[in-house]
Amino acid sequence: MLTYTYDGTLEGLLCCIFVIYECHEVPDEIVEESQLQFSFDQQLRTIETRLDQADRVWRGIGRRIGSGAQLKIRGVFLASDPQKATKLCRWVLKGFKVGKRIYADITSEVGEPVEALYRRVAREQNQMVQFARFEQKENGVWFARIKPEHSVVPLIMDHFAARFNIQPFIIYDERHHLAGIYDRQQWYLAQTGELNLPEDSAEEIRYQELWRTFYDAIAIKERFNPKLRQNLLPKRFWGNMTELQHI
Amino acid sequence: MDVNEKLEILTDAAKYDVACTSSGVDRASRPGMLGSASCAGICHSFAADGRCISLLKVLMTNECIYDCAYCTNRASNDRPRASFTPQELADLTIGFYRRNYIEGLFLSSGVSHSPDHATEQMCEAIMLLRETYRFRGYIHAKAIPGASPELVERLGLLVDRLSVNIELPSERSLKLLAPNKARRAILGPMAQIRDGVAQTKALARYKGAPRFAPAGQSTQMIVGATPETDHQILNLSSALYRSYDLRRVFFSAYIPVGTSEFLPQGKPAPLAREHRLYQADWLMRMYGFSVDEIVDEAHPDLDPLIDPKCQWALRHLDFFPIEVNTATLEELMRVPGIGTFGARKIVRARRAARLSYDDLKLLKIVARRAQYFITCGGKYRAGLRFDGAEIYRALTSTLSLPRRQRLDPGVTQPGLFDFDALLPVEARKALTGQF
Repeated sequence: MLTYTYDGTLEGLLCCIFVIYECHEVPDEIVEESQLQFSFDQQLRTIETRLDQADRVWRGIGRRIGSGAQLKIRGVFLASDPQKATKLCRWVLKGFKVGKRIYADITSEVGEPVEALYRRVAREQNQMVQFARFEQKENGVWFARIKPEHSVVPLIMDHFAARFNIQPFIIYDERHHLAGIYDRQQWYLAQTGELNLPEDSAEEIRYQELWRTFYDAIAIKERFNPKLRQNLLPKRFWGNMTELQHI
Repeated sequence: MDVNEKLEILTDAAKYDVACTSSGVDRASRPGMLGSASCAGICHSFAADGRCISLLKVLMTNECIYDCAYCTNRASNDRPRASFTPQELADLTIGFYRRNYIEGLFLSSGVSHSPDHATEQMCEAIMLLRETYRFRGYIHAKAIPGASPELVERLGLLVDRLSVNIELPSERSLKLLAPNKARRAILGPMAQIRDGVAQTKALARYKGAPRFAPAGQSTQMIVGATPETDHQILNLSSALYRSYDLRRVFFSAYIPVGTSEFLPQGKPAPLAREHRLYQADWLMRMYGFSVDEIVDEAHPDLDPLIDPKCQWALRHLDFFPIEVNTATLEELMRVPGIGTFGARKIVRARRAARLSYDDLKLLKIVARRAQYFITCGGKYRAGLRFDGAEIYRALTSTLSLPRRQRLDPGVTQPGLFDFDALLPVEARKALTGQF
C-alpha cells in the first residue's frame, strides 16, 4: 500500500498531485504527517511542499476544470475529515480526465464523498453566519466565539466584514484555534491558542439581558415545540449563544 | 417603565404575527454604513416554539382603540400597555443588529389614537434608523388599515417590505369579529402598495433611485377561528397572488385569546391544518400548481393525513409512474417526496450517469413517498403495487396513532380488530397471509 504524507496545507496536497503526474503512480491514501498511523505493508513517501509546483497544479485545475472546482476544493479542504486529502486527490485526478463533467458527478464513488463533504462545510458556513454572537468589549472591539465542526472562519469573514464594516471585530474558532480579525480595512487570519480578552463593555450586559427578554417573550407557549427548535438549531451551538446558554 | 419591561410587553403583544422573514431583497453593504440584506433571508435563532427569529418583531405600541375579537390587543382586553419612543426602538434595533442577533426590524403597531398617528410614529422610528443611523438592514412594516395614502407612501419608501393583514378569510367573518375594520380599508392600501412597487420598478432609471418596498408585500390570515373551508382559503390566497402581486400569504392557526361568542372556545385550531395549507401554498408558488389542482368543490378540505401533493398524485395516477432518468424537471417536481432541490439534484446527477435506486439514496432523496410514483431504469420498486387505494393505505398506515391524532383530531383509538389503522401494510399482510 502506497501512502503519501503531506504537511497538511492545501499547497502540500497540490504538490502530492504534482508528484503523482511526475512519477506516474497513484497513492492509495494521502495523509497529514502529524496524523500518520503506521501499518505493515505500508510504503511511505513524504511529499515536500514547493510553492511553484503547487501553483502549477492550481492553475492547471482552473484551466482544465474551472474556477468552480477551485472554489469547491478550497471549501472541502476546510472540512475536518482525516480522509479529505485522499478524497480530493481522486476527485481532481478524475476532473483532469473528464473536465467540467466532474460537476455533474455527484453519485460515483469519487464524486459523492467530495460532494457530501462540500455540503457539510457549506451548511456549517451558513449556520455560523446565522448563529455567531458578537459581544462588545471595553476597548470597542467586537468579539464572537464559535466552535464549528469544520474550520469555516475563512468562509464567513467576507460576509461579516461587509456587513459590519463600521466595527472592528474578531471571530475566534475555539476548536481549531483560528481567529479571523477585521480591522475596518481588511481581514486576516491568525492561528493562536491564547486569548487575552478585555472585559465586556457596560452596554453589553444590558443588551444581552434585553435580548434574553425578547427571546423568551417571542415564543408562543401554546405551541411549545422543543424538538423542532433542536432540529433547526442543534444543541452543539447553544454554548456560545447568548439567549440559549442558560436553558 | 424601563426599556426591558416595554420590550417584554410589546414582544408578547406582537408574537402572534406569523411573518418573520427577512427575504426578498438583496442589498450589498456600503463602506461606512451598517448592514446588508440577503435575498434568501437569514434566521438568527429559533424560539422555544420552533419558529425562526429573523427580525426584531415588536409593536410600536399595544394601545389600541379597536376591539377585534380575535386579537390579544383589543381595547376590551385587560393587558398591560406600553409604547416605545422612536429613539428607544432605533437603539434596540441597532444594538441587536451589531451583535448579529437579528436581520432587522419587523414593526407593527396598535392603533393608539388614529391610524394616521400610529403610522406617523412608525415612520419616525424607521426614519431615525435609515437616516440618522444609516441602517441598511432589513425592515418590514405593517401598513395600518385606514391610514392616509400619503403616509403609506412615505412608509413604503423607507422599508423593504410592507404588509397589510387581511385578518380573516371572508368579509362576513371580518364583519362579525372585527367590526372596526372594513374589507375595503384593507384592500385599499394593498392595491396602493402593489401600484407603488410596480411604479418604481418601471420608473427607476438609476441605481440609487428611491425604491418603494423592494421586497414586495405580504399578508396573513387567521384560520380555524371561522368556518371557511380550505377551498375558500386557498382560492382567496391564489386570488391575492394574482391580483395584488403578493410575495407571501401567511396562515396562522387560531389560538384562543378572545372570548367572543363567535369564536371557537377552548381548543386551539389544529396546527396540522396550518401546515397543510402552507404545503398547498408552496405548491402554488414554487411548483407551478394551480389552486384547482389542489382543492376543488368536490374535495373542499385538504386531507389531514397525507400532503397535498400526494393527494393530487393519487387523483392523477395516469401521470405516474414517471421515469426519473428521462422525466423533465417540471415532471420531477410533481412527484410526492421530491422537492425543488431534489429534482434539480436528479437532473444534475443524471448528466453524468444513469440513476439507480441506490443513487437516489446517495442524493438523499427520501424514497418513502416517492417510491410509489417513480420508476428507476424502467423498474418499479419490487414489492409494490401500483394501485391508488393500496398506495393511500401504505402512505397512511405507517403513521403512529399519536401522530395520526395530531394530524386529525377526529381520529379516535381504533378497535381491537381495526387492523388497517393499527398496522403497517407489510405487517398486516404477514398476519393475514395475503402477500
